[in-house]
Amino acid sequence: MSLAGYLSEYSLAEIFHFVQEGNKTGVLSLEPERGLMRSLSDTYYVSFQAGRIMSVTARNGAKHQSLLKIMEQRRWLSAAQTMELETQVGLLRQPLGIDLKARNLVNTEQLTLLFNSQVIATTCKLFEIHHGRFNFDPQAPLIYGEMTGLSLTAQEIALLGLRMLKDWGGLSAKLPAPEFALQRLSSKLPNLRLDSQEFKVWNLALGEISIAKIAAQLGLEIEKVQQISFRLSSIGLVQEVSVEPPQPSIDKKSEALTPVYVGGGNANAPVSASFLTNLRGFLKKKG
Amino acid sequence: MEIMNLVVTGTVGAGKTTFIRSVSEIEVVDTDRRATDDVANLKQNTTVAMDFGTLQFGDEMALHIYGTPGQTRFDFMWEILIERAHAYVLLIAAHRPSEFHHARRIMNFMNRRVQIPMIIGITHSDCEGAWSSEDIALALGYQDSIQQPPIVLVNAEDGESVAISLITLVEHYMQTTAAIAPIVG
Repeated sequence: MSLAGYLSEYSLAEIFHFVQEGNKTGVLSLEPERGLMRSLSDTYYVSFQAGRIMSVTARNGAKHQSLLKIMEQRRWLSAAQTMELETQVGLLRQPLGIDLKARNLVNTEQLTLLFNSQVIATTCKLFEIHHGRFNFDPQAPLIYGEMTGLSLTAQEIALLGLRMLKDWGGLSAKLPAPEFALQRLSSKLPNLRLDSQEFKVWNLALGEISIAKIAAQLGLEIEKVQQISFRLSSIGLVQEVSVEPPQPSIDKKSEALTPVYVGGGNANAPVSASFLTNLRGFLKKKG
Repeated sequence: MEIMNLVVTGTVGAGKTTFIRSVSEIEVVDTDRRATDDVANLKQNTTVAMDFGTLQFGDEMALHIYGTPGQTRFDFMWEILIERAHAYVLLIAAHRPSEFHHARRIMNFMNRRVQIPMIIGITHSDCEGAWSSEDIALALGYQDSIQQPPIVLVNAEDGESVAISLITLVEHYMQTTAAIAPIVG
């Protein structure tokens, strides 16, 4: 069984949400459709530990930009140090950044800079990919040699990535329709730092007001509220629901029910305990 | 005559008609028609109104099983059927992740209209590309197992497997209705 499919079916934010909520450890590989964007690599590998993003690496054919090489380019490590460390990374049982910090080769600020460029900047770029394959491998060995030791929840990165997304064209089919309403999945205030517009939309996500009406109420464009709704929905804070239809009048209701009234039964009355016991016994003979 | 009305709903091709056929004691009354839209890529025929099957297990006791159409354009039937139901089964084909969003929409549609016991039946779990029950639950929006309804793996073609899933539903119904029953005295 695998968590695999196409980015046209599930957005990256949704996949991140599944991995985080499932508290999963493993490596998510993303293969953008060829020819999509020149700046994209062949495959991206996102390492997760208990639902938190630890590292992101890209591979172009045999080429691959390692954390050690980045440090060497920034002149934090000499060429000789890099060569020596490269022979040791395969033996690491903890993130490389923690190991190097313990040896006083890098400091916390440098690791933070590395994490920002390796994980946050790269991941935000990944949100521009809307076509390609994804596969989460829970058996894949964690790539300690590419980890700084810092991490962020997948939800935090997804929120950041979607906020920075400029071209929403590839997600337009996935945006909730303006006539749909939003419903919070928890009444508790989210742990995440929402921006003021996100918070206002979340506040109105009570399953009663359509997205179009929320936009009018907040003085925002409908498209903007659709994008905010998608962000909140992708990270599991709200879900789209149809606005409750007006209840039909009693006459209309009974008229509509007539064709399916096959054998009887009163759905308003619960089934008796003896009925259920008999049914269970009957099914057990069949099962 | 005491009757329990059960609705079997779910995505196109999840096995709703087969599920009812596997357990019904009468020839299932179906409204299958040749698919002429995108559904034709998944299967030849599709349910356009409803399926109906029954299990009679005593002189005065019967289980009536109604199957809904999978396509959204027939959602008026979902409403008609679910409003008379005592419980429902949501069937999802594990190897078609592209359909999970639709399954969630069906579930939300039903749960907004009625609050009745339900279970999730996962079919095709042995097919290539099948997602695990845990991942399907996440895709349906269940973030913790406490609020999650029972999830069963079911082979819709196998009467025994279908009967086992129905036992799960009956037991869930018993627990749920016992939990909300008023205390007398």
